[in-house]
Amino acid sequence: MFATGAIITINGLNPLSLVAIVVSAVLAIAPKLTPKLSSKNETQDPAPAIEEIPAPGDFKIYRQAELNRTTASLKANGAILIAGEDGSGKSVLAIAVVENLQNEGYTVAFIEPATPKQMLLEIAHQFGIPTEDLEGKSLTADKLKRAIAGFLEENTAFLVLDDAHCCDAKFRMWLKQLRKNHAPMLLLATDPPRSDIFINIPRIELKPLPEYAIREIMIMAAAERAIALKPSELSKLQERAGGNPMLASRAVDEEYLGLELEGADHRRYFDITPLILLVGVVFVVMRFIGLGTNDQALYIFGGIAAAVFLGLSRLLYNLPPEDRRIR
Amino acid sequence: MLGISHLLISGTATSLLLGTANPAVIAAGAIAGLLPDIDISTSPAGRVLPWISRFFESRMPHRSCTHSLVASGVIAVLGYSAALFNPNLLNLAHALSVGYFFGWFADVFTRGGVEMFWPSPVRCVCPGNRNLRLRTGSNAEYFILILLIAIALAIFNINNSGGILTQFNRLIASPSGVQHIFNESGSTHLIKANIKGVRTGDRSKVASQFLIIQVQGTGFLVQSDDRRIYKASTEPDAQIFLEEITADVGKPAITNIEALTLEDEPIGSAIAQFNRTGAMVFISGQLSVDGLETGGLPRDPYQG
Repeated sequence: MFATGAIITINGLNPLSLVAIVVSAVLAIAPKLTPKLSSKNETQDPAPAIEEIPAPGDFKIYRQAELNRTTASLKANGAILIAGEDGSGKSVLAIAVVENLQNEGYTVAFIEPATPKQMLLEIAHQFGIPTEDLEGKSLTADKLKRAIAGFLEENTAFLVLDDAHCCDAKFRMWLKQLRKNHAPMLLLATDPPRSDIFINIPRIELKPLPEYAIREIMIMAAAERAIALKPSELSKLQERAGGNPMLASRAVDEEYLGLELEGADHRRYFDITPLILLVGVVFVVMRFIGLGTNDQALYIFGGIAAAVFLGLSRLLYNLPPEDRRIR
Repeated sequence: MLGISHLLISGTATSLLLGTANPAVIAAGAIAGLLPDIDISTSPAGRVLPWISRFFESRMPHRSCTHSLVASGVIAVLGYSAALFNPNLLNLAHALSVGYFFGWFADVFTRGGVEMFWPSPVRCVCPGNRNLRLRTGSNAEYFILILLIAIALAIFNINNSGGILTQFNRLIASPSGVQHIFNESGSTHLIKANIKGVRTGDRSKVASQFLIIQVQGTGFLVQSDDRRIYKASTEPDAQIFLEEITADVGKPAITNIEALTLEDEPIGSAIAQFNRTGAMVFISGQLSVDGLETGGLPRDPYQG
């Protein structure tokens, strides 16, 4: 600090003395700050310490708030829809909800889309409802529906249906009827339509995971595949995750397989082509300024540049859109 | 995107927007174009400043915080704060801001895109179709690199010879462009006009260089090499009707304006005081004579 004072006395207040102030401040504060920073990392910093990252194969729930809300809603005899993009962690959340409820002693039927009859049989099987009549004949789909509805009216049991958007309309209408009778259910769907059962029940939309969680998932995925990735490599791979845990694991897989990819499948891309149009507008404004100030060169230059940029934006608009299929 | 592409894009943008051919300023802009990649330790900026890159790469995805409008704002605030204390750094602050912005904005055209509106995690790209965006080190990038080199050379050349608008004025050869040059450098330099047009008397072609004496209306009073003075304009009273006119800044010269009042005095002795070595003297004003037979005024049909 004494040296800094001397520098300021000699030079006066100029950038050199400012640099001197900053350097001396850093030197003065650094020894005090270092232990504080490390303790902060241990307690508050969301960036993961290696010890906090679960071992390979273990599971860590990053959506604790959604998990608690869903469980509470089901226990209150409610129904809830969890919507999110592919790989956003819906199934992981569903498994956690099912485990929570089963640990508390509730009966839960957790099913995935199949044919309506198979799904009904699976629900009946998990609820312990007989699927045959007294004569030993298998129950028809209608009878199974009635049996399940009756069971849900008489018992506290929960229905959890993953990938509900894949179920056919008739099955969803049956779910709607169940809901009218206050049957508690959890539906999980990717981009569900705004109709039938999906519009009837409250929903939680899963937001992308925060970056620290994605980084943890990638470190775990790398550990599972026994590959050592440097922070710079993880940082590059994280670009492709876009807050999606499945894509985060996939990016590590692609690195493991040695695939050189740059683009990703997440939904965070935003086309800023209209900004090019804005540049064209700026040149149009410049043209008017040229007109107003009688500056012929500015007027012509602004006009030509505006025409070029407006044409360019038109060209970019007319480029073929991206194919929805993987080619 | 390759480091050299960033260097070229930022250097060219700096030269273009600041209208400069100063190598120090262009180099500062070009190097600033490499700074956004400090968020990864394998980049040139990351290798130079590993502590900073380690901080970013352990917390954030590549092309996020440092490739954003927020980062550009921070860099601009730092640059212009330094320039507040030392105005000599103003051009460098401009170069830093422009170079940094174009450094990350160029990545919008790559497959990964950039988090332009960080802390929003949205990744901005252009165009929307990923197959049409650039892949690092691809043939398309090398093709664009060659185009960039050509553009950079052209812009450096244009800025070296007066800037884009000056060159544009030369291209369109209009009187307003010459007026602009005359206003800018007329007080310190001789301004030579390259005129193409016709004499209003007989419509004979004129294509030569004249010295601009002063602006008159939308045209100019000019002096030819044989010391004759004409009004060159597109107005009806012009002696040379302009079709094209461009201007070049000539030798340094200082313009002085002095007042002279004559009252029944011989002109020759009154203006003899202006007969200075190396000076060009032009006299304007009103001259009343009693009889033209004693005047001895030169008669040039093209000047009438």
